[in-house]
Amino acid sequence: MNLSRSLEGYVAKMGVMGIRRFVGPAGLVLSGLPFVFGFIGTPVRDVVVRDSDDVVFTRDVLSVLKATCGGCHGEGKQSAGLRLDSYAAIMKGSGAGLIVVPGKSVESELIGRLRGEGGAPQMPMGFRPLPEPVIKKIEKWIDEGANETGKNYQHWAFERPVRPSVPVVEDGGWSRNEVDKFIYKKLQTGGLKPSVEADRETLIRRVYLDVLGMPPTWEEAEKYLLDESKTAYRKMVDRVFASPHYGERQARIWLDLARYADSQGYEKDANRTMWPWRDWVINAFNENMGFDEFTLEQFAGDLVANGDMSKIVATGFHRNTMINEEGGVDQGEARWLTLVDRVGTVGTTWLGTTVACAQCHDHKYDPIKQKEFYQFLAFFENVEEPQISLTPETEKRIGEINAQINGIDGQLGNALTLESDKELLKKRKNALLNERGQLNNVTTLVLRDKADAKAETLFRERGGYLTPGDIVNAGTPEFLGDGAKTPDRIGLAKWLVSRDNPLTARVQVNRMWEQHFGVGLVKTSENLGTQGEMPVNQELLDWLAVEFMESGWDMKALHKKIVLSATYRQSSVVNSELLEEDPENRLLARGPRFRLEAEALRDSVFTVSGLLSQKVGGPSVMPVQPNGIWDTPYNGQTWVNATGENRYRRSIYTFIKRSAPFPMLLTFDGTSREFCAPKRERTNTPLQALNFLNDPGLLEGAVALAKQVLAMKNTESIREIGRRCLTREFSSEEIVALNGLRYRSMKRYEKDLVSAKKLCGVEDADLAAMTVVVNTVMNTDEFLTLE
Amino acid sequence: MNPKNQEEALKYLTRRALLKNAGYGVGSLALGSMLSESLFAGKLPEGQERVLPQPHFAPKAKNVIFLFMAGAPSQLDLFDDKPFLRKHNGEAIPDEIVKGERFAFIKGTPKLLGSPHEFAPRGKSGQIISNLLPHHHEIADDICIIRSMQTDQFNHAPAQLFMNTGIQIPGRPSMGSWMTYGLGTENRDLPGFVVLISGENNPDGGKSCWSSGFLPAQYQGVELRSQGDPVLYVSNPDGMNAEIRRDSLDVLKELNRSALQSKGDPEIASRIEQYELAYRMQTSVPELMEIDSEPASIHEMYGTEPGKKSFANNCLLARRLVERGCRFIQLYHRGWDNHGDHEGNTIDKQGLPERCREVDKASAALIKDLKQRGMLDDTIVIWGGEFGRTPMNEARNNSPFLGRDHHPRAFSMWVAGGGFAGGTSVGATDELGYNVVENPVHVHDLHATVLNQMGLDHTRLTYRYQGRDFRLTDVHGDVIPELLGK
Repeated sequence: MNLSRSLEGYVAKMGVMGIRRFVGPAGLVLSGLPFVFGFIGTPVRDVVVRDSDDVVFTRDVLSVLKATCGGCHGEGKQSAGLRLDSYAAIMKGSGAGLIVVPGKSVESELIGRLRGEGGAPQMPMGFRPLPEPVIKKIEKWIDEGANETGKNYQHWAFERPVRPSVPVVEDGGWSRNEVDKFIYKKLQTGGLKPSVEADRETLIRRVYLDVLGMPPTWEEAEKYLLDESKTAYRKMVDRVFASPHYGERQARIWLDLARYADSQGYEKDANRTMWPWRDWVINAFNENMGFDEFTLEQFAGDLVANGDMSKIVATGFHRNTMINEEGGVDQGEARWLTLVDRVGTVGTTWLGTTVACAQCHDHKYDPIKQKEFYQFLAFFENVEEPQISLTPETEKRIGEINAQINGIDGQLGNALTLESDKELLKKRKNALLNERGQLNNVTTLVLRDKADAKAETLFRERGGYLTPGDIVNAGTPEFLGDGAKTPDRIGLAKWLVSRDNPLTARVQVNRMWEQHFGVGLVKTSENLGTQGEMPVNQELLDWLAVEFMESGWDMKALHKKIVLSATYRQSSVVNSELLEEDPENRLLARGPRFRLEAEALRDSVFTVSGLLSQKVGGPSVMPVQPNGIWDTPYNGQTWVNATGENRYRRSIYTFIKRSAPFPMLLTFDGTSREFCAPKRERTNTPLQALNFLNDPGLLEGAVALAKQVLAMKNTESIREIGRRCLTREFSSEEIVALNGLRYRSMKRYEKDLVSAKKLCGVEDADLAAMTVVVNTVMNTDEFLTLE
Repeated sequence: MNPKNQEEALKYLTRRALLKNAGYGVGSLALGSMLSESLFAGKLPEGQERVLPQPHFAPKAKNVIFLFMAGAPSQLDLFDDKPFLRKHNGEAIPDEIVKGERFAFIKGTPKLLGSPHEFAPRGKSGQIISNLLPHHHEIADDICIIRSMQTDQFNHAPAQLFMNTGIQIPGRPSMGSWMTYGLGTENRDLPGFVVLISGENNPDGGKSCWSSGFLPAQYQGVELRSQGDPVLYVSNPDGMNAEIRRDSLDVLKELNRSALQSKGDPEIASRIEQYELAYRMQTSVPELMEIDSEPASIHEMYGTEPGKKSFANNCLLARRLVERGCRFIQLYHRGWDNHGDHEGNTIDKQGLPERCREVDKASAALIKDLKQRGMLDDTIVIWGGEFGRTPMNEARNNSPFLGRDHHPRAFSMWVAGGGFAGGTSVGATDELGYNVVENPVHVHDLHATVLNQMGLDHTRLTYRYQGRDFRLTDVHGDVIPELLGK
């Protein structure tokens, strides 16, 4: 190598070669958005073939070819000189000639290549072939003349939903409400029949786990099981929906979407106080706030507050973005990244479309322009992001607490108060003192309009922060109909929940359906755009969406409509025929059956053992987790296992640190809340088994329940475990099996009382043995599953 | 039908249903196969083979060990010798070079810092390596040194995430997750993606560095912890011995079998299988961790001491994991962030030389050991940090100690085994080591090349999330033939 003799020489030489400047921080923005499109030509999606026999070019041919073949035969690349992304291009054919001969699918190269006939490689090359029914549609289109039909075709989800008429079906009185008529009609086309109604034990357990995220207590169950009236089920459902635990369960789904956490994220990941917003969400669900108001307050609560602090707190939805506090961070860019995340989150949560794809370029499949991405972003450009004190709000509660403490002190001082009651009173007082301590100086993060700032932003070439373009004003995407009436956050929120918005109601209703049945009517609940799955039952989805809007966006009413249906009440027992016909239960010829989510699993353990704290809301807590989970540089914060009530709070209150989440949450498919998470996977792994078998935190529940059943008559002990854990009586075989385990374990512990003490805290072989039994029952598939 | 037969029948049905419904993309194909694999894991009925996801083309390598030097070691003191820089040691760097640059700590016009360490050609191949890594001299002919690495990030956490996930923002799947998603793993009694940590504490990027992001939880990196349970919850609760646990699992199986029979959901069969796998893991994990059983010669070679938390122990565990069919193993050793901001953190005295002593011998031993066992051919070993360090002395607050600031433009890594060209150097930097002037290898390129050797096309290994197809290399990355001696 020819060494330069001096530094000047080095500079001159580098100048000639061109010192390769990095794109730098702009590059990170570019690469930060992994829209991977053309390349692949692999639509990794499920295909539900439409029922209708008619073929429409734009819908059934062009959309499939664009999505499947666009990588090699699209705008960027034209292998063999062939493009498949427009009618003209398809009809023009490749360098070698026509690929479509109108009226003659047999002579059309396109069909041959899709089927892999005639020795040439099958297309799409290197990927799974298209499903035969899809190819058949294309074939039919050619045979019918290969015309450009459906030029004005609009993707189904972008058209304003119209209420379909409820089908008239001969179902022998099976239907209980409108939902069932739609479902029955669909089952008929699939040649299936509905299953019988599940038994009452299964039903009450299903409703509780689904709607409240926790199983019923045996007392609650008996109330329903012994109710012989015709309205027993409805009354039980009404009780469930009136429970304050309803809000906690529904909030879990919303918190995933909102990427709620108790820490800032990124490297420093310092703690943040955001739980007042989380409590706002729980309350909103419990008060059954309409989804329209729910939306408005989260977008623009500060603008419509009129002094109502809770509406200001609501805007915290948009403050759940991660905050980068590392050294050397460009503040303007860091803020801009949060705005980008906001647009993507709104797109997924309300519109169920991939608006985020348009940050760098016009959307490749949906009609969203890049400019429209920035119009959307502009709605958030004129906001400030303050942290506010909630002292006026909390003062009220502190006043209440003080009054209660005074009352308790009075009773404690009263000589007539029983000793046992005094114990309880002291406990209660401690809890109140604890709460009061936490309520002092509560803050939360909110939005506020910046004075003299406009809702406008700069266009960014190729999505890069460092490549600004022209000024763009706030506005909504053109293809979604009339835009926001006012260019501010109020306008945006009202537009999202207007009767004419084709997406919001469908997206929300589909998500609610997904909660109850495990899969949405559109399986890709995160994407109802052209790259999403077709609805398995669009009539039903649209009917529910219109019903939802016209009911005043009443969430409880819609949930109840579903829960009260005969469809929902079916048994989930499956036979091999049904499994073969409809393995994923998309047509719903049987009831839902799926593993519970992480939170419901943990809450189940503490519900059945009676340990669960009933307290709703308040600061996040740190239940038992192994040492060494929080071990990050530059951060002295530590996890201290809670004592007392906070050890057994509902899981929604567990502290979420983004860089080191609660291990059980992650093991059971929870997310670390960095981004909007529209739905959770549902895996089945050995690590889950280890967690549920051996977690010392969960074992406390087993010990507690074992103690309680041992206090009962001997013949009742094992039976009681079945009632508490599985909401049913054990069969005699089960009792034999569990009794065997109990007595074998007891023999072993009698010889080793030290181990007994390690397991359950006392040298009691009977208790240790019963703990083993409870631990076993708590690991049955039935305990872990909604069925 | 007896329960056993019914279980098998259901497995068969489920598998058919899964294949039927697997969609028609590679992503869903891989996922579908993984699901059916989990059903078929463990002991299989006679005549049946486990269904592992298939690579895109014939792979050269089966496993990856990534020795991650968290904090970013100085390439200018280890692998990238710059006599010109040494000659101008202490001179101010010309303004033209640093104008408009962002540094983490350097302010004003910094002064050039030549390496105080000696370099010489090593091995038959004559690769230039510094005196700080004497044991590396013995593997010079086995490693491919890349002197032209580039990244986009100049802070630790984002750069570590970038090196692992291809994106600087937390929440995306890491390379090990992509790999196990695409290929599965050969030993289902152990996790397919394992993380081992030594040094001061966890890497800056936190657990996000081995997160499965939006991929299903089964692809998460599992941390083998040096304290407490090696795998979280792998031990029975205190006071429950193996005999009682087995008894409890037998009863559990009985209850679940009867539920399967009455309810017919094949998920129950899968649950039974996962509980049995968990039980086997309770044996296989402790057995894996028992490095005492290795002969003295091996301990000598690696410098291992059983029971100690050390990089050497982790290297030996990595070899044991590869032997047992684990797909992706990642070691983190932190403490390379040698800014010269205090006496204990320099490039010449305390700091860099100590880190080198901690990792040099064991890194070399791992290569030699894999080689002597014939395992290096199908195991890729990667060594390096998240970025490089500046050719200038940082001199934070006029610190008298020698150290270097963060430098994303040019740094060195090495890769061995799995078809990578041992004994060669790829790429070059300019005479100051400031910029890459020859064969740039971006992080995305490294990812693409490693995936390629594993039989995976980085443009086709995709997963659809929030309606978009994601991949490890985003929209970038090229397979670099020079790394493969082509």
